[in-house]
Amino acid sequence: MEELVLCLTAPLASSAVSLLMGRVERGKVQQHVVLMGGAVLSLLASLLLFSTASARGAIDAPTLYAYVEAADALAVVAVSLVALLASAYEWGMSIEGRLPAGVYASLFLSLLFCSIYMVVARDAVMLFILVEALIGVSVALVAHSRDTSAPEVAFRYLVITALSALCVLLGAAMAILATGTSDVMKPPARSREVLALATVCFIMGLGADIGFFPLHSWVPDAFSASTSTVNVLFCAEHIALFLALYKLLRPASYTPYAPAFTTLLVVLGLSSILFGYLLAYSQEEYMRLMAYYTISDYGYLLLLLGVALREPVHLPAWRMYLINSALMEAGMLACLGTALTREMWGSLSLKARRAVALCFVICALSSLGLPPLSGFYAKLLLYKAVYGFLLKCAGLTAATALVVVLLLLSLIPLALLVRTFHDLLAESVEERAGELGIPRVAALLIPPVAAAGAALLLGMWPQLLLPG
Amino acid sequence: MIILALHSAVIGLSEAAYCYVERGTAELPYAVSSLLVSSMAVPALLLRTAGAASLRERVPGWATAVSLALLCLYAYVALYPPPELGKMALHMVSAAIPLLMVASSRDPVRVLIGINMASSSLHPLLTEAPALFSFLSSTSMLLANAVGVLVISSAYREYGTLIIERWAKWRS
Repeated sequence: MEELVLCLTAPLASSAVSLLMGRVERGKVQQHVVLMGGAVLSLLASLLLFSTASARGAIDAPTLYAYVEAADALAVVAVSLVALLASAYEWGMSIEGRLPAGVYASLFLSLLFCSIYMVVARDAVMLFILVEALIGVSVALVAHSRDTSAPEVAFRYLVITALSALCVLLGAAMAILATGTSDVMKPPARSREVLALATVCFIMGLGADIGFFPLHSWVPDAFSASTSTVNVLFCAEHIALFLALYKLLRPASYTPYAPAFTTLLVVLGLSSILFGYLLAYSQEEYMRLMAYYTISDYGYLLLLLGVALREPVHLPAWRMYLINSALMEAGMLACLGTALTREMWGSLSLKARRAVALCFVICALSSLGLPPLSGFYAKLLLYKAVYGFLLKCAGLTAATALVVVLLLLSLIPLALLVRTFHDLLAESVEERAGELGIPRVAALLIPPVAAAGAALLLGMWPQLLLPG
Repeated sequence: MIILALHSAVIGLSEAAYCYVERGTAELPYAVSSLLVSSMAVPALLLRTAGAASLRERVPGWATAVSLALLCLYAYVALYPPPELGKMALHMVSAAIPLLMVASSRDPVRVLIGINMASSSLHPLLTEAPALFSFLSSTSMLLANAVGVLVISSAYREYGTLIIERWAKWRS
């Protein structure tokens, strides 16, 4: 339990320190040190949590309304890792935003705290509170951008996600009234109809927060208006939100309505994949293209979650896909963010630009599931699970047809991402007088190189993402 | 903000009366009607001050859908009441009405107030959760409000207006 407390305290205490430092000291360097220090501490604490949870099997902390299995601890490690990459990237980008440096660093670390807590929480009301807090922090981070459209986008994001939080609240209240407890680990003993209604509220609420089809309307604009650091950081948030969705759905899997929820998730997943790919194809702007690509990736996660709800044996594959997609998207967004900040891109040496383009293509191919990268195993397990499930439910023809259609659809993003890679390499930008110093170039390259390295490493040892 | 505070106070007092009546005499309809009137009167007042034309001009589909879904849920609960959901019906209709205001308003401050009113209407449902959650929930709501104010003030500085439609033209 001490490891869990440490894991939650590290980002929270760092957040408070950066807020206090912002009031007395206005230096940006100190804020970067606190930001990266907080992220490093969180990563170390999460590694400790992972080793303890692996050794003991699970950590139960009823006073903190938390329960951590080794797989949850691995997700905490992934969240902390993405946050650390985002903090290093922030140091490299060093772009002024609307918020004071101390407040920004504090919000950044608060998002990390909320995400970590959400991964380990076992109580529906606690999850609602964390969702509400996470929304507040995320909206403020979107509004931080100097982009002219940022306040308008942030306000829309606030309204949509606030309504989604109301849905989660309604769901949590229904779950309590129905079962007499808000603990999501306990199978419901009574009132299964009400629990099914609560589950619908959870899917609507968290669906709008995550941004899968048809609740995605804020996603492309938020990607486009936010700073690239915030976009990278949001990849950590997605891990937490998807795990929260799974936890809130789990009690419903014990009810007679489980097949209906599986069907709903599979339909939502397939719609997201199709919608995301088709709209990504028509995008001219890189970040909007990435937004639609991300929506399609949510589709794959929903598809597998639907299957795993009925057949829990596929849950490790779902978790693997979740972590891999977050890491690869963080890598791709970091590459595109650097390229889009034209003065930054122009100040990079040609060698550094080539390195960024290479990292982008490795992350993209891994995300698409090409061997021998990490995404290959994630996609392979996904197809295996979906095929096996459909074979039992709908027969050989339907199962084969769906897998073939999904494989054919994957050609659309392949074409898009290869085109983007070409643009990154071929784009001519006037060299600026002063090139970026070595430390800032190194900081900018950390997230893409780390994500590409993870794709290669986890491709060789995929079992690292399958604890237990 | 005064209206919002008044709304919350009314809901809180009605909740207290609800609990009292439930345990004591069976005068529930009085508490119910007072909460219903307050929930409808306050948004109606705000809608009136917002200008009747705005209702037709701007009704975003998603907000209306959420509001209507809540009302449908209310109708379902009222017609076929599962015993556990009986006490939720009132809260749901109380939350749905401010959400219609959110859907129709062009003023971001009113939208923020509407969301707060809807949230305040649903929060009493958590009375059976541990007391710590009430504190944490209030804190997170406070944070969301502070962020709302920050975003609205940023938008006002950036666009020079508090009319939501005029913000959209700045979208890149």
